[in-house]
Amino acid sequence: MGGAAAGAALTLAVLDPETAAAAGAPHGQLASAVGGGLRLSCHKLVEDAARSTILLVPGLLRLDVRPLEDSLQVFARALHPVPPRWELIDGAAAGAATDEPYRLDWRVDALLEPHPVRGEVTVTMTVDFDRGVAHFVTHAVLREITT
Amino acid sequence: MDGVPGRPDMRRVALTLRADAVEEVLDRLMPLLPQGVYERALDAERTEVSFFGDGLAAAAALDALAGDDLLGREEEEVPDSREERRRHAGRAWTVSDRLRVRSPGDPPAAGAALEVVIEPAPGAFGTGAHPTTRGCLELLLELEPGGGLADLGCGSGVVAIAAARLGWEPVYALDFDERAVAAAGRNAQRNDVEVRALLVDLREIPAPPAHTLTANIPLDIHERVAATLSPATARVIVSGITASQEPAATAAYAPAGLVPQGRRIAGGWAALLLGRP
Repeated sequence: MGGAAAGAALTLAVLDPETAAAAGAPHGQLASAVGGGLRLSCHKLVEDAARSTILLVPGLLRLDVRPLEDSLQVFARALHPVPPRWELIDGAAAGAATDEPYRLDWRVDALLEPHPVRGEVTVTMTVDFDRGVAHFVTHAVLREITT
Repeated sequence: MDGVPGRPDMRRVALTLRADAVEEVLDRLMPLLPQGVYERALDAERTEVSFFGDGLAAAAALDALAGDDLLGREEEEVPDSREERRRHAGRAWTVSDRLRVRSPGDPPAAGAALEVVIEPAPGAFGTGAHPTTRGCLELLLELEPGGGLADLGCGSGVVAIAAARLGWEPVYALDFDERAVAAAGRNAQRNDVEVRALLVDLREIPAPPAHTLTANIPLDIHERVAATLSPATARVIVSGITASQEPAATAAYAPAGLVPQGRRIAGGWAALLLGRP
């Protein structure tokens, strides 16, 4: 990264809906502009024990999941030199004793220049144990923080 | 998704990668592979990453993507079945640097002090990956083995088998699901340990009077177990509960004279060691 102009270009590139839509299309990901940022939505069937991408923001982050018979592994990968910070804000173990989908909510902060990006990511998982497949739905909104 | 007669096979591509480079390679591969990949550790230095598809026209490009981190590559026609794909997924976890839980498809680790081999099975919770199972095993490893142990909600039998390996005797594995009881029995046999797997509904029958109980069960079942706990039971490893349920679980066992002596919290899940003061 070199200077404010390059930083500004980087922020705009990360929040560009066309870039995210093109990269995420094979994964069932939609991307569109939302006031001051980027809105993403993805849904996918993932077979038991497969690791699969359920959120892809080129140049910033990728979220993979690996459902197992009794648990869910989550891999948050940084695609930016300064790794975004993930904070689980709700939903750990939610759904464990209910019939509702398993749900995880994160807040994501990325120190981009000239303005940082803050986002919220929600993943829900519904498992069909007998078929050995899980259905994932991901929603994310990322916004540039200008104040 | 499972293989059917007449359906053409699919192609499996298996890449052998340097273990310390897998994540960087996956950064390049995952965007190209919407169906995902199956990872399996071959040894401490090498990891196999498999992916499946009918027309892998991009396979040559994948070679270039993997670059110097690619140690080997194999391709084969395989049945188009979920079981075939699962077979190439690793399930090996190390607990407290002392215990390794793995599936039959994972190679044994060199020098591992204690290994438990678990065949994943539908209806049999317990691959060793879940935070509450890991917490339960971590607490079990801290105890001095001795006397009888009953594993309530045994699932695959992973905790009961580890207990038998560590020296508890006799060991009972209880579950209300027939599939779990069958899986626990098979896995005990596979690990060459003596574990009696029994079909028991703890909503109707009290827990057996074992010196140590491990209980990977929902909170409401813990409450029933606690209410009918035998005086012979000196300690209980409570798992299967969320971190927010810890106070309620502790309170449930308090009238039986058990107090907290250890805990593990991970991923929103809790495992507690309760014992007599």
